[in-house]
Amino acid sequence: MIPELVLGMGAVACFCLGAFPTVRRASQLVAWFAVLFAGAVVGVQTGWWHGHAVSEPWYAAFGNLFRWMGLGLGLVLLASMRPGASERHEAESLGCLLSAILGLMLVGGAADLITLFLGLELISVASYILLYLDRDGPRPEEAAGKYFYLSILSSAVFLYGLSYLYGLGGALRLDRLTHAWASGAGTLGDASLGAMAAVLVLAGLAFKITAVPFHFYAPDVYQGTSHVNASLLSVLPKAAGMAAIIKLLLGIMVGGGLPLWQVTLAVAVLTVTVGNVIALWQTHLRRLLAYSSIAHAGFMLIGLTAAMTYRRPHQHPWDGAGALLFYLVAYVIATAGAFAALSVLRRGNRPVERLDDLRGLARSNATAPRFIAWSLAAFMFSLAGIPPLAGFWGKLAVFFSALDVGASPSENPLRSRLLWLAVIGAVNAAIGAAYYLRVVGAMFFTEDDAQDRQQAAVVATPAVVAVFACLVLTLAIGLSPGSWFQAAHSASPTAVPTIVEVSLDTAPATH
Amino acid sequence: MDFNWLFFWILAAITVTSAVAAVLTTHIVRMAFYLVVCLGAVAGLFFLAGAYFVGAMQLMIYVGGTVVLIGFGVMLTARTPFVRMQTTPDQWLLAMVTAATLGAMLLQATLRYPKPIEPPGIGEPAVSPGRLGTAFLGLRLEAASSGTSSQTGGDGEDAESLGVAYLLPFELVSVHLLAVLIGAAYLARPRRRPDQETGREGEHAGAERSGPGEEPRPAAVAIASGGDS
Amino acid sequence: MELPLAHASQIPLIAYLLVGSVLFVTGITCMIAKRNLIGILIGIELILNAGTVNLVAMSSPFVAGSGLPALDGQVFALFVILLAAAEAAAALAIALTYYGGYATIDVDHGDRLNG
Repeated sequence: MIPELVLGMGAVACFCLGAFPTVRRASQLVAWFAVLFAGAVVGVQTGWWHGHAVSEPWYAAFGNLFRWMGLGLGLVLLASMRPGASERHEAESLGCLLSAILGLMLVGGAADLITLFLGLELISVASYILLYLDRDGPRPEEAAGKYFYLSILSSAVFLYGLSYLYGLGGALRLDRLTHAWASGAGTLGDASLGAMAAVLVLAGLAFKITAVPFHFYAPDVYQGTSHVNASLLSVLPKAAGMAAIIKLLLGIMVGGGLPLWQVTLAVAVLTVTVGNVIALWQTHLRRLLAYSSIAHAGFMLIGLTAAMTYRRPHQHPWDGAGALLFYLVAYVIATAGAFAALSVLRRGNRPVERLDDLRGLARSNATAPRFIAWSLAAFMFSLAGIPPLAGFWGKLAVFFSALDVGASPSENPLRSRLLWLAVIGAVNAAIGAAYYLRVVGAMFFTEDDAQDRQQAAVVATPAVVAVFACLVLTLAIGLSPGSWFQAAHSASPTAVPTIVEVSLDTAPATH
Repeated sequence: MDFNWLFFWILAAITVTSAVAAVLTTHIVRMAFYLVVCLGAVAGLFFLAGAYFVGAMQLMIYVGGTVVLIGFGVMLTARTPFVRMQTTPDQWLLAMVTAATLGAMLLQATLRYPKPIEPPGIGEPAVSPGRLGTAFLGLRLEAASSGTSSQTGGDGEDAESLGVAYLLPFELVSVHLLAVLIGAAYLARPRRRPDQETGREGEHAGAERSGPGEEPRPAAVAIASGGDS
Repeated sequence: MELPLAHASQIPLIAYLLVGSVLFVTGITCMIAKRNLIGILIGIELILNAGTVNLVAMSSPFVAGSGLPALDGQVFALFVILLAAAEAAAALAIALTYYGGYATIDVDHGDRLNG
């Protein structure tokens, strides 16, 4: 609880400092101090890293995973916020950033529905204010307006689903809800109300993770804002949404015996296909990364579907939820790194926005652009899933978790469908590699032929350090994925009562 | 049929009719009016359900605050061409199809709401504002009030496990409000035109904004610092 | 702190839930049919109210068939009301800036972001 309080106080302090022009600059210090201090507290509390102590309950490891993720993202985003561009809103931007991180940590550690809901809302509120404060983007008001209205719509729908979840389960605490649903609360009388609750909750969260029926806003919003905000939007809501999906759908609702996997399977296939295919035509970098983030949500949903269909014994190597978490970590690092790398690049006084702006970056004479080009290439390869980077192991884990259900010896009626799911995922990974390689190709294999443009240059900011840190992490996870796998698996919800094993195909009998 | 039912029917009828009317009308001012009626009737339903404090808050915050905000929004943006909202037939079709589908699904689901697991808690006292207040402070008084039983698990439970304490959510909501307040203060002030590339603040971008166009910063500061206290 | 007619007869929970679902459906319809930022905001308020009606009814001691601890649902409902108020303020500010930028709050005009 202390790290969250530290961050909250830091956010409030930043907001307050913003009111006094003479001390506004101190907000930078306050923000860095709050994140670092919160990190130190988490480190001391958890013994720095024993995320895979077997005795630890899964939700403690889960909360710690998201705490580390939030704090790490906080450092990267803090470093990428250029002091010059939004100097006048610096204090407010930093306060919003801190509260968004706080939201992610709260969702990860939430033990009841209220905290979970408020955590998600904190991320939304902070992100639409950040979208507005930003002056870098081409059309901030339209981006923020679109995001805001869709965001509160999704929250309202989510809340309506939560009200049914609460009514059926009879409690706000997640462990009680798990117990209640496992003993049949979700299918009381008829399964339809439980199914309704699940669909509403999933619909609300699908917006946060940009899953397909609710993905359309992402490209427009990302394009309309700056690199830093796009980075925040593509990692924080997605991580929080995934945490909520794991906690609510996988931790509670699956226990009720609802055939939820049918929904997630359809959403996963659609999301991964739409994201990857449309990304092929994009020339704007932020639009491209938006479609890429949609596609990655689809890959994560494959792991979710596998986890929903077949419950594995504790720490089974191909447990779907663990694969999802590992994938999420790999995705977050690569995406945050890629956006941080883009944010330090400049052509003249213009940010680098289009694919053409990257031309010939790796052939630049200076060292710094070459470093950025190589890092960006590494992030793209990781996102594309090329070994031996982190993203490769993520894709491998997700596909294997689906294949493992498909190859299960029992007469599992889902076998063929999960096999197809893995195949569709693999085909999409191949499609996805094409557009990531276009980015790499632009940097490495084309000359900067435009005469009227200025050379790409790197603005020396702390963001370069952040890029370097993300690069190191991507390589480290890629080269020794074992311990990271274990950490992810220890955080996957295995404590869920396993009442239903494989009989999810048919509609559950009325109790 | 006693008074309880009678009041319920009246309030429910008002709620439903005004909600439907808000959708059907094309005039923005009427729409806001129907919303007031609807929210007020919902507050009545809260009173009927024994949630007196929530009902009062619904009246004060929603009907008194939120709707006034919406009213301001209507007044500030309603120019003659925009008062009437023209909805094209295809949008109506889409809306109606969605409404019919959703309504059918919800109706079908709601009508099969499970029978109560326990006999309804007739003996349970209504939640007094005092209990709500202590809950916000992180204290639960369930142990003191007898007759409260939780839904699941009949084993002996300490008072702490009966529910959650709401101190943390309460503080979270405070951070929310602070952030939104500051955000709103920034959003509502004039900003430069999108086509101006320079860092200087432009003139008024819209005719309605009569705020301090030259010096937007102190205004925002004043509001922001007012919210901090 | 009890109304005199509180125990006269209990309203079944389903009646409340039906009111809530009507509010939800009208809210969604409103959001689709109205091409106006304020209209959309009103739709969202309706949906949020549907959620609060459910929460309050499910935890109410005076509603037959709820039988849940009364405090939880009411506190959740209070938080939702607070959040709705906060977001209405932000929505209004956004509508005003939108109006300043486009001289309309019709969302169909705000499609300059493409491609």
